[in-house]
Amino acid sequence: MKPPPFVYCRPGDLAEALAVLAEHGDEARPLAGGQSLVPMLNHRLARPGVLVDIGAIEELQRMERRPSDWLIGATVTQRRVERHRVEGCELLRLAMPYIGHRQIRARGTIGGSIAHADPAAELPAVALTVDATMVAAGRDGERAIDASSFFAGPYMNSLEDGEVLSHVIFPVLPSTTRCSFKEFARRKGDFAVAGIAAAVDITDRAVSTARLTAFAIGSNPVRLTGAEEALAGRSLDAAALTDASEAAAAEVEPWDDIHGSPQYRRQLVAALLQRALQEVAP
Amino acid sequence: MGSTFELGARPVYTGTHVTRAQDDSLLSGQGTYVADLHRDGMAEMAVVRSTVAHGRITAVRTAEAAAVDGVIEVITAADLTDVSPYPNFASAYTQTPGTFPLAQDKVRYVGSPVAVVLAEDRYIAEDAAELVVVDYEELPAVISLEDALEPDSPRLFEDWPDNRLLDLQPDDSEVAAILAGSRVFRRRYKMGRHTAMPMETRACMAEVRDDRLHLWCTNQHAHIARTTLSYVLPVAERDIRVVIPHVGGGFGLKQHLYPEDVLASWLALRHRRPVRFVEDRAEHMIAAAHARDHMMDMEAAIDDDGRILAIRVQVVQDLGSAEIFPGAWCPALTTAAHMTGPYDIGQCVVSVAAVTTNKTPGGSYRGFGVPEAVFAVERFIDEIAQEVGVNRLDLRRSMLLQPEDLPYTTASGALLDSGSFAESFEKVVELAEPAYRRAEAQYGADPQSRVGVGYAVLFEGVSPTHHGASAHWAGHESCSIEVQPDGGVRVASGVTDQGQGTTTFVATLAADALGVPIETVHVELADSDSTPYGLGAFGSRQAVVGGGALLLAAGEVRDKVKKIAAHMLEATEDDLVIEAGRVHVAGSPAPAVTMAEIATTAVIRTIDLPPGMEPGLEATARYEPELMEHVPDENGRINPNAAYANAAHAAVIRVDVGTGEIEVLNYILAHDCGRVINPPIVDGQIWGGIAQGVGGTLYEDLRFNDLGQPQTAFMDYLVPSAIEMPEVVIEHFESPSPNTPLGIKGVGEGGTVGPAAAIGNALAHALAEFKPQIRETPLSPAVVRAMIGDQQT
Ligand SMILES: Cc1cc2nc3c(=O)[nH]c(=O)nc-3n(C[C@H](O)[C@H](O)[C@H](O)COP(=O)(O)OP(=O)(O)OC[C@H]3O[C@@H](n4cnc5c(N)ncnc54)[C@H](O)[C@@H]3O)c2cc1C
Repeated sequence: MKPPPFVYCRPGDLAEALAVLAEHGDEARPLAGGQSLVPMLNHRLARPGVLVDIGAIEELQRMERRPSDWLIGATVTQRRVERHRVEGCELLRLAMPYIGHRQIRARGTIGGSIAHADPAAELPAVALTVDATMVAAGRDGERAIDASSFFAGPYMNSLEDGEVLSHVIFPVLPSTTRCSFKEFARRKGDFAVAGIAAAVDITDRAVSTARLTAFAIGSNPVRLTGAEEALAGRSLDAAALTDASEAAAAEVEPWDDIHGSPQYRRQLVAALLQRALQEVAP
Repeated sequence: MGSTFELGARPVYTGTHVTRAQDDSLLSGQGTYVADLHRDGMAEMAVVRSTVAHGRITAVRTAEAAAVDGVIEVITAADLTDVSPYPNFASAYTQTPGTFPLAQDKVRYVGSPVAVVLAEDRYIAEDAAELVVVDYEELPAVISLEDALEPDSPRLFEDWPDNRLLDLQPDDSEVAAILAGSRVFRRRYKMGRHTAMPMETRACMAEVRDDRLHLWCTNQHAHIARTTLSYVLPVAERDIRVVIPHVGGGFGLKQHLYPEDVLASWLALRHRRPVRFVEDRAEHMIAAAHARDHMMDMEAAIDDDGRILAIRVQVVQDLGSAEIFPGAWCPALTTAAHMTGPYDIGQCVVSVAAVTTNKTPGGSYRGFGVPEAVFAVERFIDEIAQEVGVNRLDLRRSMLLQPEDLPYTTASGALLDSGSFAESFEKVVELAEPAYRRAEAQYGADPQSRVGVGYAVLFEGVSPTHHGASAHWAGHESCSIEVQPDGGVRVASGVTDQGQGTTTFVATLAADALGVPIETVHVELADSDSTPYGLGAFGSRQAVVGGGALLLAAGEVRDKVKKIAAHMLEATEDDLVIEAGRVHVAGSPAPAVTMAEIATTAVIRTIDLPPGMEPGLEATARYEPELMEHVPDENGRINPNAAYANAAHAAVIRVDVGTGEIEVLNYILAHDCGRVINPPIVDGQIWGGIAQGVGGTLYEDLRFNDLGQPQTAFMDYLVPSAIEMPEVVIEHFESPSPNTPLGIKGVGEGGTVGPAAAIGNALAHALAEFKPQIRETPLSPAVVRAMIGDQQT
């Protein structure tokens, strides 16, 4: 569990980082909090020749409330977001404590988690649920990528070689939206076996829009469109909850690992969705 | 004999909270573990391990690795021409795996050592290890114990008739006759594979000094390790020194002398430079001993009230590849010896098989066959109660050994000379029932929750013979005590300390036995050059057997102290007491002589000794428990332990029927380890044991796929943390053994052996409406959720 040899550099600004990344192409890799990358190096699952530590770049550490959204720099730590109230981003606030342990959140970053695209990670699920926008910086400037197209498979994102994720824009949701975040992990702090992120807009006691995401059940988080439709226009009564849970269990195609079969994960999705909806019901 | 095991006239430390000797250094990061040892010119090892579960090695290509800058040498089995295979002293009743430090022709598990890269540091060693190419002709792998038992199963060892390393079939005709004429109840139980996860992995550092091999290692036995090295390496035993520095947990896993210890020693001798190996956690998961993995097939003749009249069991242990020393079949024998539980079941016959599969070798782990037995026996009793329609507590009461039944010899030969079987059970029931009612009150209205309470009562053989595992060593321990001229005491013993407080109990007993302040006692352990030959740490034995040797040596020293003091004080020996390092006539504190004055007389001013007395104030003693047997009789009966502890466990659990998760709310344990030397250490042992028991029951699972590839990386090996621990209540009973020094019994494993049974029974109680079949561990959420089905959530 020792990494293969690598060159380490810690540029002071984004332009320099992008230059180094461009120079080394797919040999180079950004290093943020190191909470996923360093274990991968130690297990020799990743073997970049050049590690570009982006931790000293001030431009990536911004955290700003703007009129209709939050802009969160890629290297803002998870712990910083957790301690901040991120008012208007209820779902983000609810999800933070589920990421590993406090020590891990103290180093792990928002951008690192999203770029890493772990199928069981919480932040990609939040990003997908609230339609966050990922902003990539490259030598030719910035480009915005929707959450729905950012995640490209397990541990894969749609950044190009030489690009870094510079910040993420989380829209502020209307005050009529109620959120819930539920996950089942074997021990406190473990990666989820299955999880649900829910943001449900309720007007006049009926669901106007439901955004429901299941994660840790397949390559990337997925929106539960069947369950979302099952709820549209309805009040969150027992029948609606059952219909949504059944729709969710039917529409997911979970994978198999040592913590659970597809069948078990379907049951978890149904149970967790029920609980999430009970929580958001007025 | 009993009277020779005495504390002094005024014991002040034994039975009190003496602070653990090493707490300050270990807890403040000042400990010295093998990984903290550095030497000039020290090289490091990386091991190239098999990536296939079963295969013939057709080539090992090392040239590219050997050419890497900083690589000293790359070796394979072919280089070890002067190394002997590990011996097998049990060949009369076992097959011999012929274990060699590096795989010779075949590999039999993923993780098996195939080659070693020695390099300037571990980074380079790992870089080069990746370049070693091993060609295999893959063979079909044997994965489960059921597979291994199939008559046409592939064989791991082609010269054996089948995959059975051990196959003991005692005459069962008496029990068979009872079964034939009675109502018979049958069940099969299994316990999954899990193992110890000590904070410190295995490690060793070998160096040659003054032409002698010095091995610093994490092994639990300095002397057994030294002797074993002398069997395997071409080095005389006198030229080997084994030292065990601070150890971060052993739990039995570090009982084995692993290939890396031999390989580091061989390389140090060859290159005349220090060589270190520190196992990383990924290696630990596949190359350190695994444990459990047992199946128990039970058949009982029962009467109308469910009482067991006779029992017949087949125990099968999955050994993995069995390439480990000492061999790992002994847990199965231990399971067999515990199949009656603490119940009056007069007839019990157990056949035992231990089979090889293409998995990491099984080995020792805290509990050592007892958790398996307790799980099977206690689940069996609950299932009988349910089948017959009697109360599970009353069924236990009707069979439990009562005080008037003791001493009692179990059907398998264990001599239960004392204990609190019925009393500890009633105590636990008294505490657990209200805890269960509280849980019901709290969760009864929640449709997503079910609560339950489960019980387990058990006896546990402690301080066992080593012969069951090695067929070589037996059961003694030794101790040397020397009083130095300033009155300070040096105690050297064969016992060892893995963090459990051994050093502290040695100092405690020595101080009380000699009547000196504990601060004046220096304890020397785990250095084969400076301690007398002993067997070290296994089977909760050290306080019993190590304590016995210590008390014998201290008794001799104490007698001599009194003789010298009597001479100096012109008093009669029998009138003297030793207290706080001073000797005086009982009842009159002055005049007195100090330990320093006495010792100075004994070793310096020897002209002042009583006429004819030999100089010196020291003694070495050995203690071998008299009633402990090492070899079974012709009927397979044996009393393999010096003592038997007992306990009753209860678990109150909540089950989340949506997720299948079990939350252990309360764990209540009444424990009896005879005389207690240090109450907080006893509690600590029980707490840690419960954590490991809970871990093995709910969380920890070493899985392999159909190809024999390990599926459980450390990330998925779920050692419970403080958050997963229940509220624990520990009650103590003290039934001293009449047959052990001071009545001490061992405590090291007591917490570990009951949780699978208590939690399994609690789950059956909680989920009664779903009629679950709870016959296997681990009870993971997925497994529990499947028991609930889609009926109602
Ligand atoms: C014990 C443990 C438990 C954990 N539990 C959880 C959990 O429950 N849930 C969870 O979500 N995570 C968990 N994690 C992972 C943790 O949250 C990481 O912080 C996160 O996945 C990665 O963030 P990081 O800043 O550490 O990124 P790094 O490890 O530094 O990088 C991760 C990957 O992202 C790339 N990367 C990083 N930043 C950028 C960027 N700005 N632009 C482009 N690429 C980038 C890196 O090149 C690398 O490939 C756990 C980790 C540990 C050690």
